[in-house]
Amino acid sequence: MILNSYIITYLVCSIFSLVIGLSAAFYGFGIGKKWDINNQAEEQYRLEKQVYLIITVVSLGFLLRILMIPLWFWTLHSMIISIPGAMCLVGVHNINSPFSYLASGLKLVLPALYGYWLILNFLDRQMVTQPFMKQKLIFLAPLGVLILLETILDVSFFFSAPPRQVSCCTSLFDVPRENIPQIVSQSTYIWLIIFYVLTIFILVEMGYFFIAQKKSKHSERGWWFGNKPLMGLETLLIILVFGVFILALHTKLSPLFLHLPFHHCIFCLAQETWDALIFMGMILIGLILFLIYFWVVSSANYSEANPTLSEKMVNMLKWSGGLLTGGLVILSLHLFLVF
Amino acid sequence: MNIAMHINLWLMAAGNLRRYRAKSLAVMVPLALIMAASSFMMFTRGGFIKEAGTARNFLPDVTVQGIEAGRVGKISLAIKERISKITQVKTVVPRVWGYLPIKINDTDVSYTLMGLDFAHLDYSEKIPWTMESGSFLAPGDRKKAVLGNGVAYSFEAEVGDKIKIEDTLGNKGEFEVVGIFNSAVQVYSTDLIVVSLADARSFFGYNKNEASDLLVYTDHPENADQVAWDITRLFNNTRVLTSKALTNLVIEAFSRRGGTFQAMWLILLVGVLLLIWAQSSHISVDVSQEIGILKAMGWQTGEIIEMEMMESLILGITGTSIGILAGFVYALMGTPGISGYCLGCASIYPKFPVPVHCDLQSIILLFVLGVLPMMVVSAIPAWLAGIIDPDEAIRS
Amino acid sequence: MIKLTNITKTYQSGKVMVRALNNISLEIKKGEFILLVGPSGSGKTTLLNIIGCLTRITKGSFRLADQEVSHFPDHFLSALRRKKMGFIFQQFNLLSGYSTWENVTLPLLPTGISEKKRKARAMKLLEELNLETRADFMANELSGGEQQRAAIVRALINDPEIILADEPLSNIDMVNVNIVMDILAELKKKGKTIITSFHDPKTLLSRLGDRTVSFQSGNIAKITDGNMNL
Repeated sequence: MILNSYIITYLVCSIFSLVIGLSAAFYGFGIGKKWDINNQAEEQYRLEKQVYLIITVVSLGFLLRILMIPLWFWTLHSMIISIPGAMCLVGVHNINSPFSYLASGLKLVLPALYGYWLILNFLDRQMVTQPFMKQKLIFLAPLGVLILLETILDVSFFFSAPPRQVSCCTSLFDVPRENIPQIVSQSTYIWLIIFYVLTIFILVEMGYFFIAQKKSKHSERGWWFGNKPLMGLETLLIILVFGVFILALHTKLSPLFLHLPFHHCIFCLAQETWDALIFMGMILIGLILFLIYFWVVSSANYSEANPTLSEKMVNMLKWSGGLLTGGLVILSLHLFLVF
Repeated sequence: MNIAMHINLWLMAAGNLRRYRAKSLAVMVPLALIMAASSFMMFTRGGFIKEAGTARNFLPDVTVQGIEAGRVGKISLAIKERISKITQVKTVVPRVWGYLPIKINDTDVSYTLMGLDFAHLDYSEKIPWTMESGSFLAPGDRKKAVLGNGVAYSFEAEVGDKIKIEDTLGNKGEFEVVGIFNSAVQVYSTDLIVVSLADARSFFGYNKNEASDLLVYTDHPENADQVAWDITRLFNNTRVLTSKALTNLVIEAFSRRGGTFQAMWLILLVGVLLLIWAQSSHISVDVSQEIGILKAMGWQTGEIIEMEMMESLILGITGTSIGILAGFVYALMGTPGISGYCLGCASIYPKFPVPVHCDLQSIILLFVLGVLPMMVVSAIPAWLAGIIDPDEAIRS
Repeated sequence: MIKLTNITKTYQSGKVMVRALNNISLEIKKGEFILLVGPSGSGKTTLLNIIGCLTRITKGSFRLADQEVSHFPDHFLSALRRKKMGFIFQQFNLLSGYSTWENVTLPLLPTGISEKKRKARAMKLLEELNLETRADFMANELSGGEQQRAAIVRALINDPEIILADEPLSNIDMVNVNIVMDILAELKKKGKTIITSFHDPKTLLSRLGDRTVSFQSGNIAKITDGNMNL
């Protein structure tokens, strides 16, 4: 195991995150099962008080998860010198690939899930009936499982990091093409074009729902309220866009922006191109907010809540559209400058 | 989002900390102390890494050592020509060096004497900003030396002086000091005596066809790994080191030392957190009554929790800031008392201040380490304060 | 404005369940001055706390401004307190370590009003109650009467519709009793709903009451229209 200040700091955060995640899952699930808004008994008041503890620790957990994103990548960066052959984060990931990539992916997924929970909680607390209470409390259980999985992946990653020779970005991507899937080795515009098409489609969708949501201000009816299949489709679509975005970054944008035709490393892109982190972050958060919108409106209890929450949902769509458009504009400007 | 409301809660939290000064200090002082311990270690590590990066400019791309009977020994110059023929190799220069165990004022110290071939090495661009005084050696110079600042201090030598060196193994020599290195690369240079290749050979008793190692310079530093690989493949009885590997070795050694220190430091952190927990989880009757009054006036449970968490945040930020400042000052003072541990070996360098470097990333890391545990530990006490029943609290 | 129907409140005291209120019903109209009287432990403070949304009922119905609030979550009850209620306590309950003006503006802090506006609003009310010269005094530097007047300013700072006062005259001297009574009379004139408790039926406060509700062991023993004319 490699031991340095970054790893120690990261592990401290990881332990806190696990304690927070598991305790919130455990108590949340328990409260969720017993919750009954119509009950006047002391037990219900006790549960209400416990919900405050859940909100406190989840808010703290969210802050922690946000901090852990840069901390994770700094920690990986601090390990480069200890791993012969590693020149950037790809090399560090390769000591325990593919699990290390899964761990890195979870670093982005978990804050998004925490964000969803906090938004749901915020909306829930706008109404006397607290219609999403059970949903939000029970959601903490799978979140806790994911945090546990992430911690196992992180710890196994650090423990499986002996100083040994690993392949790194250029060596990984410069090996004969037949050895790696063509999808990651080719330098093509196709994924970038697909990304643009899909993103513009999503922006049109956002525009539609923005207008529809605005119109439904005082109504409990909307064809997309409580629509689970739509939520499933939108979730798949956004995962697809995210995947295509990664491929576009990998196949074309990295070599293009780094001015190195064989350098496909997204980590190097994020480190060496000042605007890359901004447009990547904006696009990612924009997509996540849009996804959260669908997760909220697809709730069984959403219809009755719409007259109270509609304005806030419109704001969510505004933010999501704004961020996605902003990210796309910065990316397009950079592309324009490259040519 | 009502930012003004959060600012008001922040001000109220600050006011509470002022009102309960003793309790605030009981939390802040231990936190500041352990953050000082953590920060000086991090700044020292940063100093070593920075120096290692600077020193890398002077290292050859590849160093080749000979292996005799399974251990590092002299290398024959016979392979020099063959290495020169490898594509991407620009120059191959022999070097002779060794350690000098010396007694100075009844203290055992150890220096490094290094002989270089200045006819084939070109340091003209890099040398000027590494010299504290005098100049570097020129081709053809004999019986002249450039000293590291630690050596110069020990011998009380200045440019123009002559120094007599006699180690405890019986090697002898006399050199005129022509230059002294400055502190920019002191990790590498403080114990160094640089002389000509011929002088080093005669000092250590090497013959003309032998060297301690060969310094290989490539046409582009990016090709060092490839050249190293080729040399390893061609010559079994060699040990090949790239400049990156050598620098990383130094960085890693100090990183590990920092990591080990940090791991031990964690135990202290747990102790301080327990103390903070004990302090913050005890809600006195007065505080409980105040919270009851605030709730009666319309403060929400969430707002009380936020205010309590803000108190922890302010304490954490203040304690950590004071700790970082104290750690930085302690590091600048040369980490008195534990400089030996920080440097790795104290006896080699009689005068060697611990290098210090502070950057934004280290500061952020320290704030994460100081503030975050504080917030986590305070979450349950803050919640307990938040859920106080106003009617019961007021009646109490 | 306030409608309590068949309210029961029990709470745990050690191992014993205590019934503080027993199936009581009461309706209070906007602008009424209600006096709750009865010996200690008769349930008047519990009723005051229920109306003030400080504690919840065990059984029954509690309607406030045409809304059933007995099922309201905690943060909605807090919001109701902030917008509609002002509390005056027997012990004044000013926070030590804060000045008078800071104390009286405490209810405004979570609303996000700036310090400048908070202070301006506080000074206006302090002036009305002749406390402007004490604005920068620390709470513990005020006399008992001044503290109670400051507590009244604090209760009024949000311009609430309902004033709840728990034994407001118990800890002040005769001079200040008259001052506080004048203030309450003024508030009544302004149309505020005032509900106050006191255990001594001879208190001067009874002159102001529109109705007097007498408590005995958690039950309403008698409701008298008009003041008690003692």
